[in-house]
Amino acid sequence: MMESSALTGSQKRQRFRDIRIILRLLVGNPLSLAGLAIITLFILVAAGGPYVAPFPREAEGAPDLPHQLLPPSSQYLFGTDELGRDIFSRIIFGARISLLTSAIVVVSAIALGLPLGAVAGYYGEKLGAVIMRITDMFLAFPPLLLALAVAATLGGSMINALIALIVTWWPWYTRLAYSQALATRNLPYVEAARAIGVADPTIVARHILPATLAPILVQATLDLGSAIIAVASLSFLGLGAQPPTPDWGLMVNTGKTYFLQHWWYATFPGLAILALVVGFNLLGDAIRESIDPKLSRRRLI
Amino acid sequence: MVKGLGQYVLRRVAHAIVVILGVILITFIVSHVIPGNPAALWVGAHPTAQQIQAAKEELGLDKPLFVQFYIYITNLLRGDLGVSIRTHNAVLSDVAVGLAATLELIIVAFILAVSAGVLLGVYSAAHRDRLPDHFGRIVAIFGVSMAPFWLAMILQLVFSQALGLFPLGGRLTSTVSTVYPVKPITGFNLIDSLIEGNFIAFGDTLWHVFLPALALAAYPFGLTVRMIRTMMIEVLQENYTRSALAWGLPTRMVLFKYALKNAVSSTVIALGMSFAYALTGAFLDEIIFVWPGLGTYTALSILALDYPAIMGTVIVVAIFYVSINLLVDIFQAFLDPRVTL
Repeated sequence: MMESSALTGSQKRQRFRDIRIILRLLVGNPLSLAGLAIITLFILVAAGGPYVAPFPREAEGAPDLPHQLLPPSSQYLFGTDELGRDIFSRIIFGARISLLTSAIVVVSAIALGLPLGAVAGYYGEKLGAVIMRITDMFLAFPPLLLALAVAATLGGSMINALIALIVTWWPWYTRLAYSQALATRNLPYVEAARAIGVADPTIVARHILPATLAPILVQATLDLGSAIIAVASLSFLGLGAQPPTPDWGLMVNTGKTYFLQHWWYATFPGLAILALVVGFNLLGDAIRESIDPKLSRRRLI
Repeated sequence: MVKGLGQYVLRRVAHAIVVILGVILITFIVSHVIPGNPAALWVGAHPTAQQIQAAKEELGLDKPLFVQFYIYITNLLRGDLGVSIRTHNAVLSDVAVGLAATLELIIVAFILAVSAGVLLGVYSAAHRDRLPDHFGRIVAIFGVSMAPFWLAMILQLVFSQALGLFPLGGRLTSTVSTVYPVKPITGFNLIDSLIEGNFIAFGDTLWHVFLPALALAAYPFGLTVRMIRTMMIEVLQENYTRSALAWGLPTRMVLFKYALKNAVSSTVIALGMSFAYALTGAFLDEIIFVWPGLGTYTALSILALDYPAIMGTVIVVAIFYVSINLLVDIFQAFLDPRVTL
């Protein structure tokens, strides 16, 4: 047991060093810095919601009928919607929903998928084969399509949309963790742990799972962006958030009826989605590039 | 090598069959096992208690689960996906018509995405970490970050509404479809009109498909740029490209004639990956442009709570997608023999 904890100690130091190197690479790269800045901005906006938004009551859904469908102005930065509500305020409130829902989807998918993949990869053989066959079956659906079926069956609501997305998202992490676990299971330090009699569940939890973290983190960063689009898409189809929730996808959906005459209605909520997703993708891409040895920094032409 | 390829194909086909069985099992679980009320959905909006009971009996939802699964799978094997509540057609025939229209849209989008994506990917890799590369990467990232339905709306707003360059939606102008109707042969307007020499309908379809295809192309375009760029950066570090450059061959020739050949297989992978996104992206894109494909069909089905139509579409698209993946894998093995090892 003592040897095992000493091993994790040195591993921890190693990981800490890795994180420092990654951080240095991130801060040195303008694209990832831009990504970080965008994400931070949205988190601040989401946290400050009611204090930042000029019309917090309208953001929550209170109509203001005299000010219907006004174009952007100094009072209504992004214009107003068909009930006279300030779109800018509603987008600010929507930031909270988008960040929270995408985090719920990704974290839950990791919580389900990661242990399954690690177990499948470590034990291999029959149990691993069964888990991976089931995973393959879920991966056989184009993304969002199965979620659409599940959400349609459960009925349109934000909770149901989240359940539908989690149920269809975990296999991606299972596959990722599986390939990582396969690669680590026969490394000397894992064999050493086995040789001194550490129990299998402990090996999986303390040696296999941590080794899968780096690729999972990259994937999670990119997935936070995809999850925002997925949640928005379900809301857009009427299977997610319901009025008067200031959800970005739902706002684009209702804006669909009006936007050809009132361009600002759908444009700004969509821009908010785009900006935040670009932020996550810039960051995720930069992390991936910095840990991919095949893309070592050499310039030829 | 041929033997290896043959074995590989057999193994992949067997795997695909298992996966399709799994797809059927999962859709069965979704429609029969998870709570929700398929019977109520089956009847449509505002069901009465008697209607629900009748629907339960009709759907066999009162029978034991394994009996239900047997009925489900035998119906499926006979191609019976039920009848749409909204259109009163067999779901399978509705889906077949929609699938052709959706595929037409996706194929045009892919042609746009790949041709532009390969060029920008090579350009980006050749200027790694300099201004053109940053530009290429940012464009690629915007491509994969756009909600497809929103991009569709913006294109429609700018190019149809404001500039009047393209139609607002649909697949054919109504006057063209009455004066020069396209007889459905393959279901692809662009092919059917050419077969009949109906160039007016061909041009009109092309004019209608351009904007929705452009909106749909954003994601595969971004993915292609990304994959081609990564692959090209690797290849440009290999000795043979370095020697070619050292020999003084023109850069453009080295890039496109020697290096790009090795990036082809990663393009195929990128296309396979984007196809999945294009399928669901097309669903959202079609709603905006009223393109009469599966997306519009599904959206209308969701609004009408037309449950058989929704589940039928999901299962057909999933099986179709598994088959496409199988073809991509086999093509991949054909291009790159290392895959079969």
